[in-house]
Amino acid sequence: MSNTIRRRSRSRLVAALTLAVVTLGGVACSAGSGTSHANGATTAAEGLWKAGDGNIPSLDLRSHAMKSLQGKTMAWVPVGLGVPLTDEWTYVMKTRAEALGMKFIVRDPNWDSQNEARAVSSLIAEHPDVLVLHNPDVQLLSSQIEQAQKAGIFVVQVNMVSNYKSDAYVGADWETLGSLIANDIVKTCGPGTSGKVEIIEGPKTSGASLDQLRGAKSVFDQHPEIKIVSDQSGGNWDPSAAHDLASTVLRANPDLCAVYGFWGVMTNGAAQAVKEAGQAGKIKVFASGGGSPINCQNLQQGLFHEFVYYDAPLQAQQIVDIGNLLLQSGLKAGDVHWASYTPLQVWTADKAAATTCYTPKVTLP
Amino acid sequence: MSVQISTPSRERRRTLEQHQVVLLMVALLFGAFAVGLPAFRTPHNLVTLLRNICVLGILGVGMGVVVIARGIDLSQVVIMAVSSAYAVRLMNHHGLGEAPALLLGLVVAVALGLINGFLVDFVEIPALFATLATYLLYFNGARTMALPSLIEDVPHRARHLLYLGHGNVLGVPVPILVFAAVALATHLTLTRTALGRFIYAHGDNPDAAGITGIPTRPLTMLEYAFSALVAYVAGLVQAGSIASVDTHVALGTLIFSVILVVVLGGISLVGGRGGVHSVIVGALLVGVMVNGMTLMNLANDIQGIVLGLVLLGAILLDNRLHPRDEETVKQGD
Repeated sequence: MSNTIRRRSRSRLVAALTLAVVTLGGVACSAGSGTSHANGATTAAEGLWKAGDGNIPSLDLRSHAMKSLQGKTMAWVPVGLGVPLTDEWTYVMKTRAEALGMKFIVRDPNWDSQNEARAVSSLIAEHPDVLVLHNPDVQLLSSQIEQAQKAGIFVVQVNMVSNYKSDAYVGADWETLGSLIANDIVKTCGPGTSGKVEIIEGPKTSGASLDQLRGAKSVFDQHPEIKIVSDQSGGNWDPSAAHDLASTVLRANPDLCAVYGFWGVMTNGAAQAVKEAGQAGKIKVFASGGGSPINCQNLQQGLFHEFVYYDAPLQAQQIVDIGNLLLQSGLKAGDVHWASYTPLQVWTADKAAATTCYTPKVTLP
Repeated sequence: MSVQISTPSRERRRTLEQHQVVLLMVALLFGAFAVGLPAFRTPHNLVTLLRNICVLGILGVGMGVVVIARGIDLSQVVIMAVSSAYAVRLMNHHGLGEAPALLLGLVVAVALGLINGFLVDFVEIPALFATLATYLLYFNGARTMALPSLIEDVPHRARHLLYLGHGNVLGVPVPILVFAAVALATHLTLTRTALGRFIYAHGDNPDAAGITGIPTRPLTMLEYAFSALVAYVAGLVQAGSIASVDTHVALGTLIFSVILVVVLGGISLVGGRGGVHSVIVGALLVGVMVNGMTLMNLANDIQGIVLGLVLLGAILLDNRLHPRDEETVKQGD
């Protein structure tokens, strides 16, 4: 008996280590590639799932999947609903989780970080099976994520990672995104231009800002011809702050080459300032986002020069897939630390007609 | 009682009014930035500086009237966000034309202001608590009933609305003209009409104003409705500028900035003091500082520290020039 338990523990540890090595090795996995990790996870599963044993009757496989998911609860706490990105995530997650027979609940903190911390505490007490969190910054929910994991709740973090790593992170690879945009800025603002660039970050403590800036700086540092004339925060992703920053900086630097904003919705304010100054198309605006309509409009009007798209509906699907995987795997909360980075697509003004933004669907909690 | 009124003119000449102190600080900062930052003193930058304080200034004018009348409107930025977002939503999702949508947004704004006035004067809830409650009520009520989306993008067909943010007349951006028009109309009303005198009297001593026959209750409702109306105008200018309405602004610190520019410029929270000029100098001080520090590319937290210190300095200087005593803090004299 004790040997069996030891064997199980050992096989679970081996599976966890395998997943951790694959994840920490920097392999970015999409929803599709998640299947290969699922095969790894099966070696650790209890009950039906045995190492190297693929001779499972189809009905048993189905029964195991159903039993693992039916009636389980997935709880989602965004930073706040009411913006296209979080509305789209919520709609897709709810639809897909419910289709798998899961119960989906959403708590809307309404963009108040204290509300968010309270909502997470209350959910930990309710003990959902999977807790999906959208961190406003790298620290706020750290201790609660640890607490939830200790309570046996799987925790998936979305798009903005915390200092405390949970079972899974689903979202953009901000460092790659930052370096990708920076490289394109280097190409755009090369010889024959002033090389002057304005950066408008989001909140300084947000994971999306910190990692994106690191990625961008790693490129800009190697290109002395690029001059960062301004690097400031647009507050809490505030388009009017971005407008005021851009309008001031571009007046002082009429030969400004590019504005790089860390989120499309916020950067829209900067693009409007460029338009207001009659510099649309001359000053190139770079941004990124989940593909809400304003970004497509700005591309089509030539207000955005380049937009790096991380697929918000796909991210929501990935979250449900990973929840599904964790629940079927037989793993315990905290056994693995998984990262699933959303593929990035570069949308440019000349390809604007081919880009498709989603129409956000609103799901009230 | 009559000491203040009969202050010798020599004494008046010796001391500066609060708005003059702030104006002096604006001039000093302006001079320092103009010398140290060549980009600061360009005409384009000065226009941008003014352009970027318009929303704050317009809101300040509305708040100023309420504070002169010894009130406060903490729900003002929520009203700005909710009413302008509602107008844009009517265009986006209900197929309304620009004019009827903007009109309905105006009706919503004024109605919310009237509710504030009603709660303050008829229900007699202190303004601070009444508008704090309506701040929560309006924002969350709107989210639940009318604005499921926090961000509404202004449609291209709303040309007049976009013009409010992006247009210019003879090179002067329309937002500056809107701010100037709101400020001038309010200044003339406050200084040249009976209504203006009633508002000062209301703030100076509400009981005495009531006894002398001023209809203080309808007047209170009018003051809050005006604050809401002005907030709506600021919301439209903001919406036109960034081609969208982001109602997150209601959750931020803009309301504190509005109160700051009002009080800093010399509109006393105890009522009956100051005027539109106070708001203008308060907004100018904030605008000059933020513009200069943005050009210096100072980190946001350093900007916050400098802003706090300079504002503290302005208040300390005012305290030195106008030592507080029983006479100067008394109302109704």
